[in-house]
Amino acid sequence: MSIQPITFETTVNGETVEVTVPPRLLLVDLLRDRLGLTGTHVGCTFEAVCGACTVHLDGVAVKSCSVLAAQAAGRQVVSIEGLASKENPHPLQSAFQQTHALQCGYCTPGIIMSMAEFLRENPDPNEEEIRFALAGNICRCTGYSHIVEAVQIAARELRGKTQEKRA
Amino acid sequence: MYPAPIESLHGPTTIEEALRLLAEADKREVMCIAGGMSLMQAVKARVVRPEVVVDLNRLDMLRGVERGAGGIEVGSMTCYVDLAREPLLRDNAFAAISDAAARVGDRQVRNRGTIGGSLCWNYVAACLPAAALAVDGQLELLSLDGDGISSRTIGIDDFLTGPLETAREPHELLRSITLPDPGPGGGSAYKKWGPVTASLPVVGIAVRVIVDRAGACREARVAIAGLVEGTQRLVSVEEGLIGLSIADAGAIEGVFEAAGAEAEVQGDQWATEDYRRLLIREIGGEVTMTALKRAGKAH
Repeated sequence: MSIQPITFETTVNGETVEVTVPPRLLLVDLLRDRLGLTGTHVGCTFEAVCGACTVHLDGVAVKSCSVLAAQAAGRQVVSIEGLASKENPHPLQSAFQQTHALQCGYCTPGIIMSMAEFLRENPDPNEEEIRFALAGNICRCTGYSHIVEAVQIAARELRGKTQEKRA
Repeated sequence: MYPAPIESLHGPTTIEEALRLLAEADKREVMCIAGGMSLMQAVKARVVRPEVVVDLNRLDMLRGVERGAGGIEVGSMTCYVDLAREPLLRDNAFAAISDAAARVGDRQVRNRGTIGGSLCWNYVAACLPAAALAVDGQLELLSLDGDGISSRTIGIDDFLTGPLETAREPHELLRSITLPDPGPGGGSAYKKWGPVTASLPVVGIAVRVIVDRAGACREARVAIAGLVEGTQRLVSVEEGLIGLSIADAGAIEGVFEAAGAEAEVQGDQWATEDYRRLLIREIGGEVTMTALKRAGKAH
């Protein structure tokens, strides 16, 4: 078998990088091992059930353990490191801190990436919609109540920001 | 859980280029990746070991839903999230497709997974094969021959040949699924039950009915997912529903109860045999009522 490595450009957190990878490399490993972006976690040995590795691919929340790295060629990838900055955290990050919506924190980056996209699609969700939207992310510490609360607070905050912009 | 080595990965941007890559399939293990929501699991578990992977995600012409002469035409690379939002598939004869797509997997899976990928994989407990079977989907498969691109159309009944098996040849590309318009009085629906939210169903049932002006069923197609023998039609139910209407809830459940008693079911840690038979009755009854209500609005 002769493996044909693939060289391609992709934009990660706003920065264009050129990489050469074997075809079987997973996107999550490109981020973590090649680019040192270890905020994207692997919680379920790549079985695609935990959601900890969720990133945005062209603005859409995907599990990066289920995408081959080279499928990101020419596309925009945003990981938790690129969502906001330390100085100006995303409203979800502030709300998670405020409501103590994490204990060990392992699942948190994936949940925040998934919910950030969810709130763009559905800015005013009710509790049932939030719980349904969380189905792709598993947290084994919190019991979810505080996570739901954090998402509600962040949703209000984001709606406020949108209204400010309009005004 | 990590992929075995893959020799090469290609991202064709034209159908012809994709078909040329697939034409190698008689010599080597060539596989298409659509959304990858099933294939990547199988690749990582080394259930399959493709040598060549053809990524279909750059074929934008395979995405989208439109109304055509023969019904609704759905591109094979249309994602679940887009099917779930599609107004042409809402509350009508084709709604089984959007019902199913709205509750496949989770948000991340619905963002990426496609109808074509699900039909070509044909997992026993997948939602879309059952929904497509009930609405009588017609599949267009493309391939390369001496004269260029050739096309054949095959009905879903003949396409789904058994668990994880379809009539697609390895060198063929699924272009679209056409959902024929059953005319006035058509309605369909899909519903499932699984152990956790939006999980793979233990039992999933899709029903399409065509009703007369009085609301009585004059034709039905009923498909079930989750049985050991794979997605299949429940012919005895289709016959039993003829003449029934939304006023006959008890009789409708009775038809499904009889079919459940005859069905070959296997209990597991999620549901015993008896519970599966109960699910067939309950879900069957409920989904048929939804389909009948939708059909009633279509006169």
